[in-house]
Amino acid sequence: MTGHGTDASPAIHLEVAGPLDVDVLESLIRFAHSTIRSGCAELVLELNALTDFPTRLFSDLHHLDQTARLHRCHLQLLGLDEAVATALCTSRGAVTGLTDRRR
Amino acid sequence: MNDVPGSDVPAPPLAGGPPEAADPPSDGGWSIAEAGRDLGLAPDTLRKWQHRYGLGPSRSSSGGHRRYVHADLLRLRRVRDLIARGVATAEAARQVLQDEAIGLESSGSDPAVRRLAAAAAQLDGPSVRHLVDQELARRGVVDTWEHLLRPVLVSAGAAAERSTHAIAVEHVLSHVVHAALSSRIPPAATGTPRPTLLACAPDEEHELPMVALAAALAERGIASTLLGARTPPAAAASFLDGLLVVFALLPQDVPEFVQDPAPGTTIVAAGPGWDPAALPPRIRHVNSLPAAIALFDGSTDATDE
Repeated sequence: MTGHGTDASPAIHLEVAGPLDVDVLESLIRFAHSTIRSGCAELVLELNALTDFPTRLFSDLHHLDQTARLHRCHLQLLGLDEAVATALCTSRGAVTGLTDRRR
Repeated sequence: MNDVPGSDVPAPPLAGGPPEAADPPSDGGWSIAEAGRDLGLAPDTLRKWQHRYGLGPSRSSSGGHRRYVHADLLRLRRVRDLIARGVATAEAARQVLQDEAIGLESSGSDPAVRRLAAAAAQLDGPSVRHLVDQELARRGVVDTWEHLLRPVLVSAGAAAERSTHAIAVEHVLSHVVHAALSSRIPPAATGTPRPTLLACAPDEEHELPMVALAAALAERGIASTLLGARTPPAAAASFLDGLLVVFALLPQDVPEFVQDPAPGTTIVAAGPGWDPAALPPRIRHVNSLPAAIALFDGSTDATDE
């Protein structure tokens, strides 16, 4: 899991790749919540080539989205379509509409 | 009986009848002498039980005197009855207090239910996990779910509405049960399509029954994909050519992907959150783990509800 951002630009980019087990997911979501609460104006959460799919993922992302709305943070989710397509063993284009939740 | 608080409260027939026959006091409760008379116990015994085992009254009067309410008497009655059946006083008190923490009645429980409830009431996660693993190995997923896990989880859920300790008990239980069931689901082989998708309704937070179903299917050598709580409609709708089980515990509107399934997809609505009358006629509804499993076993036990 990597993250980068600067004081001048409050946009934060969090990227997770490979194994996303429950412990990694918990850490990722906890960090994302605290990032939003600290005043981040834009948070990009990118999921790349996930090799597993924790069942709490959608629920955790839902609650993260609620926190982002509450704190007026622009939350973008990238790579979720591909993650679901991988889990379902469908083609990448088969799943659309899950990523890049913009407000 | 003149110390029964509340002038409009009739004197409870504590000396002549069981506490459930008495009108509960509207304020304050009964004295230790009255409680002792009802239970056939000396006031001094009640004082000892309070000091040694925490079986005291819930209230006290403005003057600092003990005041037993209806629930206190029921608790003491259960302890007294266990002692009468040969259980040591300390053990009887421990059992009753633990049962209360998780909302279970003392009598008639499966011993495994009692052990699980006791471990959960003590927030003893490792013991809960050990017991659950042991029973899963011994009884299999469906029997363990139906006769051990679900009853205890339901009781814990009900108790969680009444006390903060019970909320913690419910969290420990659901967390450990989730982990134990998940450990019995083999990871997906990369690139191998699975013809069964287990999902939850878009607004459904409870996924444990679907984890149990996935584990029960795995036990039968049936691979499934589990997407879990709050499955987005776009994810469920992208599943083609297979069986899609969509779970709802709480009342849900029927989503579009259930109303109009993707080609080649058979949908089963699982759980009490679906109104069978609102489901399209071709959608099957099951309301228990055995009924869901029966769909895969090809037996006739899968009942539409």
